[in-house]
Order: sequence, then structure tokens, then C-alpha cells
Amino acid sequence: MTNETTATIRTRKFLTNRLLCRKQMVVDVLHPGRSSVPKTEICEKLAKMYKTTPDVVFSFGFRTNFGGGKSTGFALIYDTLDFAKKFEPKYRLQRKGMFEKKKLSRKQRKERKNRMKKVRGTKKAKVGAASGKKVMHTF
Amino acid sequence: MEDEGRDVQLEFRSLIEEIATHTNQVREKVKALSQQIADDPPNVNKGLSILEVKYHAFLEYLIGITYGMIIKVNGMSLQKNSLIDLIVENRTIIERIRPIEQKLKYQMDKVLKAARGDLSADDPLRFKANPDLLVTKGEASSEEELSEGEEEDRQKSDSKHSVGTYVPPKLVSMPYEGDLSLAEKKAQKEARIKRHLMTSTLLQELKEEYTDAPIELVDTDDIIKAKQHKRAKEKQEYEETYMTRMPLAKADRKGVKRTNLGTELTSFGNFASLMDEENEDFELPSRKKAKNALKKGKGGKGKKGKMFKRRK
Repeated sequence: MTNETTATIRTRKFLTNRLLCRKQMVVDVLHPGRSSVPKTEICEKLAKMYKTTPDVVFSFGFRTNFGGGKSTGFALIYDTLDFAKKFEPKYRLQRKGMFEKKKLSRKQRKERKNRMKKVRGTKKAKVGAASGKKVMHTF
Repeated sequence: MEDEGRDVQLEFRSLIEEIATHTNQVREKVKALSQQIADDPPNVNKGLSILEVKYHAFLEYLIGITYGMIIKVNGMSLQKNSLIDLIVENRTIIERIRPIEQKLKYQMDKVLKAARGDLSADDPLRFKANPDLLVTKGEASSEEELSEGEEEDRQKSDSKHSVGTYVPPKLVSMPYEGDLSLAEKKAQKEARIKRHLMTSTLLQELKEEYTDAPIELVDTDDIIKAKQHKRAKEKQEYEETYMTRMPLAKADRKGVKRTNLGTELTSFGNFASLMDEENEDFELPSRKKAKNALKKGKGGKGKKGKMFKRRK
């Protein structure tokens, strides 16, 4: 059962935030007879409405009302992708695939900290995660 | 052209004769009335002022009309005459008074009846509250004015249960369901569910958008619900202005669970059956089914493929 009924998107409380070079709004999605709409679809529809590309549109915080059929969330539309990368929090960029977080395990973090303890001052910064692998001189 | 002229003349003559006879009748009646009032002037101090206004407006209107007729009979035109304003104003006043009078009609009739002495003391439709019926012999008291039927019931039940058995007061009428068959009961239940869904929030909001009628705000007597509603609204306002989602505290989550309606009213299936009536075998897109389908697809192909590779 893939009941592909279309979803209606309406925006409220529209505000142009010149300081952060973006437009922010509250988004109402009406989707009767269908489970909640994925954020990618919402971003595409908003991009069409505001005549931009979908990669500068960030939507989040969608909550479906009790009984279904309507969800409310927020959306931000940046002027350019550079501003988006600068101002948007990393986890939201990660959702769009524009940012990859370094996945250091706990053990590695603790080892790095212990290495840093041995050095004083600005040399701590040189003691990166990679410096754990000491060069093996083979003869 | 000549025939038309003649018809108009004949009509005019008949109308003039009518006016003459009518004015004679009216004159006689007015004479009699004014004689009556001169002999015995009535006291209008404590009367309804709305009736006075109505009669004054009527009189002015009639005067205006007759004056207009005089002008017309003398062959002058009524255009750009302030008489028209007078007539229109009084006519509007009369028309506006009509509905107000309708509303007061019941009270006025009752008062007239009482003045004439037609209402007896035992008439249960008397317009006064009867404090003797407030407390009866051992039943819970009701503080509303009882109608005739309820009074009789009370007296009958009093005679039956005179010993002292407690009988709860029949204040709210319940529908009688004893004579319905199973199919009828089912149909009633479905009708009830449909009615509830019709007034669901989603449809209400859609309606609010597309009608021009003003939005109704409901005041409930339930204090707890009103407080909850107010808090929920405040939270929503905060979330929308600051574009954040606030997490629900533990107590609030429990409250939300308690106020949840039964699943039959809010499940997707029922709503969809309301919108799309041909689709009788509509099924919920349950997570279990989706998961199973996914597992089958992946597991089947993947496993087989793996086994093949290993063997090789």
C-alpha cells in the first residue's frame, strides 16, 4: 500500500534574517492518509516554492499532530551554500551529507590525551592522533 | 397608444375612488379612537418604550406617505424631496423593530395574560421560580425551574419509593438502546465515529482556512483542560518563535498518555475510510509489515548470494 497522496506545504511566520543570511519560517505539512513526509521531499518542495536549489534548504523539528494528517516543523533557506556551511550546525550538515564527523573511538581519545600530557605548551598541538604511530626504523 | 392611455385612465379613476372610500373609513376610526383617548387617557409611564418608538415611527411613516400622495395627486414630482428620506428612515426603523418585537412577544403575551387574570396560580408555566420545589422529600435537589412533566414524575416516584431507598435524580436523558438489532447498533457506532472524525482538528483547520466565516473560540468549563490547552499553546508559541523543540518532561509525557483517545478514533484506517470510500480493504502501513518485507528481500537474496560465494 503506497498511497501516494500529495502533501500540501504551507509556510508561516516568515522572517528574513539578514544577520545570518537566511530566511527562516515555520512549515505546515498537510498529508492526510499518509505517514509523515520525509525531510528531503519537504526541502525539494520548499526549494521550488522559493526558487532555489534544495541544497541550501534545511528543514528540521517536524512533529506530527495527534491523529495524523498534519505535521509542523521549521525550515531555513540560506542565500548561498557557503553561508550554509558556515552558519548551520554540524549535525544538520551531516544529515545532508555535507559534513563528516571524525569517528574517534574512546580508546584513541584517551591515548591522545595521555600523549599530550607528556608535552608542554604549544607542542601539545603537534601531538596529533597520528603521532601515536611512531616511525619504525627497520634495519 | 390610445388603448394604453385609456387603461391608465381607468386604473387611475378606480384608484382615486378607492382612496376616497378608504380615507373616509380611516377618518371615522381615528375620530372614534381620539374620542376614546380623550375620555379616558391611558397611563403609558410603565409601558415598553420599544412599542412607543414603533408607534411613533409608524405614524410618521403614514404621514409621509399621505403627504407624498397629496403631492402626486397635485401633479408635482417627488424627486429630490426630503420627504423621501423621512419615509425611508421610518420604514427602516419599523423593519428593524420587527425581530426585536418577535423576541419580546412571549414575555408580552404572558404579562397581558396575567393582567387579564387568565393565568391561574397552579399554572406551571408561570414566569416565576418556585422555591417550594427546590427541596423534595429525600431526593437530591435540583435548582432549576421544573417543567410540568418532571414535576409529575417526581410525584409518582415519591409515592413508589416512600420508604427511603435512594433513587438518583433523572437529570440527563440517556438514549434507549434496548430495541436495536446488532446491525443497527453497528451502524450507529460507525455513524458516531464518523461524526467525531468530521469534527477532528485536521478538518477543522482546513475548514478554517477556506471559509470566510469568523473563527470560533470555545470556552470550556473544565478548568484542567483549559489550563492544559493554555500551556500547550504557550509552548507552541515559544517553539515557533525560537525555532527549537522543547523535550517533554516525564510528567507531561504521562499526561499525554492519559489524554489519548481510544485507538479506534484516531487510527489511520478510519480516517482513510472516511476520505476514500471505495477502498474498503485499506490497510495500515504498519511498521511490522514493512520490516518483514525488508527482511525477506534482503535476507533471501543476500543469504543465497553469500552461500554461493563461499562455496566457490
